Amino acid sequence: MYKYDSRINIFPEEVLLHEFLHSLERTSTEYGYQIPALHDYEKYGYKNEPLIGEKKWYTDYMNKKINGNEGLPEEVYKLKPAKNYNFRVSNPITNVFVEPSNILEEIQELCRTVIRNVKSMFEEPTTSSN
Amino acid sequence: MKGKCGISEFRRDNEVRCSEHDSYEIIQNDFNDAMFYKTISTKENTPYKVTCMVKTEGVEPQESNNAIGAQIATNNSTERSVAISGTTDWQKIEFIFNSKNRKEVNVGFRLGGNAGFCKGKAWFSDFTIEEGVPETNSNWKFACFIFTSTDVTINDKKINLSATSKDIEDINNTINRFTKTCRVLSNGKMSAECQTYTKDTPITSLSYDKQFGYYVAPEDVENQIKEEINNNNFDHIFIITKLGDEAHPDDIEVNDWIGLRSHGLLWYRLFKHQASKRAKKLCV
Repeated sequence: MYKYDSRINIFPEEVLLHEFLHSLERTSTEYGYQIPALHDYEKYGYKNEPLIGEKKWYTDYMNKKINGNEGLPEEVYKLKPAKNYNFRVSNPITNVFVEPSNILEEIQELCRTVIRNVKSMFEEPTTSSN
Repeated sequence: MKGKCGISEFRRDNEVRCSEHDSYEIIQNDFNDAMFYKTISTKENTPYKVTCMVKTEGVEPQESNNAIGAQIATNNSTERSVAISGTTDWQKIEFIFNSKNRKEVNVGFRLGGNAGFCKGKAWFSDFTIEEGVPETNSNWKFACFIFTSTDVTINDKKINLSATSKDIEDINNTINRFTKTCRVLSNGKMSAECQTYTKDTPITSLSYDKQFGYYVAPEDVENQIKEEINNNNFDHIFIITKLGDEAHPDDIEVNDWIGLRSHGLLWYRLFKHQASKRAKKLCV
């Protein structure tokens, strides 16, 4: 259980930062970056200190300075979740939810599906997002 | 089109329609979770919006949970749209996701959900998909919802918890500090702006996990915050609520604090502090 004494703690925003960094950690992993786990501060020689908690760890984590060059990639700060704002200007894709209009197209669609399913049987599962 | 998968039946319906197109029906006479999906090619790190019209009849989740019902989802993930239950007329639902590093995504139309099973009927029609433009800036917009009271029943025990004005002042100060800390600690790589909402309607349901104990899931607060979410473009959401006080220090089992993520926006239960004689009690 996380504890702090508000009379002496000077880093109360740590909990908000920690959770937000988990988000960036996860995004980095989903995009294929190899980064230290956010909870592994002790493995890298950092400590949870009385007044400032894990601030030094977070600082190096956010600036990719763990062991000199490990941590969050700078690109991750621009990798935000999708939202309506992203569709102020958008491109409708019209050839996706289209039903086959004749038997030939149905057969083509069926073949594509079969090939895709067979391929997926032999492929590594991709990281799924949450 | 017609098929069965266990206790779910799939049909193309030319009688129940929203428009000139046939609709696609999923029928579940018993509790189940089923989806039909289309594989779409995607560009990496690109936002996509999928919409459809949906109609439901007698959709009943097996347990009370807003995440169960007729919805748009991707398979093998928890990404989803809102979930529709009950008996409803045709309405439009939308689902937004980022392709991340995926070159293909299976976009599905589902009756059920990751959170559980349901029964009933759902019709889906008029499908659209559009490709958006990703943001390229590093200024993050946070929404912080402070729920001033928690009013739940745990193990048949009613628990009412209220944040004091000092609690709320502390939380607001912490949020302000967080905003500055993001910029400072990242050496300017990112910036943060926080919009804080104080909610006087109580949280009346919590979710439970054996590992972490009780927590606030998106479904527990979705209805109470959706207006603010829909009218703004937040990148990240904090949910702050009281889960204990001197009178109820352990009534709500909280084993750890966890972050949750829901369709691209992150939700968090913050941790519960234990009181000590010298420490101020701040249960969030």
